[in-house]
Amino acid sequence: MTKLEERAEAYKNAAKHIKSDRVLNLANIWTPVIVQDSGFKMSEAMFDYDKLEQAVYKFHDKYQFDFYMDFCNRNPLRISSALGNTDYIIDDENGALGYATDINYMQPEDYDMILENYDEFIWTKYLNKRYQKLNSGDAIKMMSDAAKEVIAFNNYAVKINTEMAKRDVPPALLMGIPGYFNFYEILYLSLRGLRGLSVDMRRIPDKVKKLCDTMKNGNGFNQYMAAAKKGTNPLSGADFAFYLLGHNILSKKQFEEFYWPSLKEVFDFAEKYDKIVHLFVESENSRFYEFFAQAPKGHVVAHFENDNLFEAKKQIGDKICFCGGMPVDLLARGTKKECVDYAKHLIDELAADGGFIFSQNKMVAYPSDYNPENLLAVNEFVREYRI
Amino acid sequence: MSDKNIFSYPEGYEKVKKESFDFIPEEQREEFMQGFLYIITSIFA
Repeated sequence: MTKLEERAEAYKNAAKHIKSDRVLNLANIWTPVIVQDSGFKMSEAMFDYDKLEQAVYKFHDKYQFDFYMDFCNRNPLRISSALGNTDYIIDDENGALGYATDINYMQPEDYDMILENYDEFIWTKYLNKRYQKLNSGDAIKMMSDAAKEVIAFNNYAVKINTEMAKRDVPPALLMGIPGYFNFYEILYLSLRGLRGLSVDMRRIPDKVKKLCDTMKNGNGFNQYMAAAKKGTNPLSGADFAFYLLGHNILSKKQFEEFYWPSLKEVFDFAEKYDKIVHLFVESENSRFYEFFAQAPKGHVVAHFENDNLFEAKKQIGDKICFCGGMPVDLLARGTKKECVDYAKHLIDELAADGGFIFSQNKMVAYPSDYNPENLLAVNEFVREYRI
Repeated sequence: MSDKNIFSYPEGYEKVKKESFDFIPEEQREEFMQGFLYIITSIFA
């Protein structure tokens, strides 16, 4: 068994609550930080795959995580730029990559059209709003340039995952394994936006529910399920990932109505096909624990962002493997000793029976989110500590 | 069809597949289009 396969197996053992002598360390650290920690300016690297690649290697050489969320695949700005989009701000001085805070590219009357033909909606009503320069430019050429950038982006993803495999690191959870959003998330993140969707769930809940129930986890996941063979991939940790971001605006009742059917489909599929799903779950989730407690044991790793994992474990038990826990605030402003002491506390309390993967609780996406010396100290501790 | 009509469906959709994706084998263009739309409608793009 190679070291990469050992890491992949250790992830699966954690998912199945099989105790091991060491806890895995997953980097919940994202492109802007990887780029800048490695000495590159974002304005240069975000458009240069060679620099992004070098940034990933330097970051890994320095911190030696077992797994990564992101090998600098998060922001394919070259693709959207080819379509004329400038709806992002690169701030080299503060190390920030910002986007518009809310979007709205559909109207309440569009629910029926999306149900009827999603491609037609995207083509006739969405693209010209999101990529407005297509209306006035040479759209055929811009689409062609963007298509070539999609190929370049995919080639980068294949290359960086292949090269990191040579360094014994399994595929990143973003763009290294299949990853999906359910259709509620698509509405929230890409089509209707926070405000629009919030209003629709009150004014036209039947339309929102019908669309969410019909589209469930989207065509991409439908294709993945249709092609799936039973069994987990020995070369990766999780088999696939889901991102839960927009559920944070839902009440428990709304979650059950609009979100749970698609999440249950994921749970049922993972159990039936013996797969492991990594759930990236933003915000604080205690009001939803009864749903996570219905996960099939051994098949779900949940990376909760703002939750008290000790309390979550009491309530959810061993149905899921917990991931995360290391407070970003402490990494940024605590002492090395405080950070290492807290890391030990997390591992001692959560990994005693397996079922825990160490990571930062929140996305580390800004230089102010961490002190590199603290991160180095914590990673050395997690690497050496034996349970 | 002018570029202003590129957002018609299915005419504009097919025109982009034929002219913008002309460097991709014809039998692979629809599958490529689905992946292309997935990426350019994502939150990250």
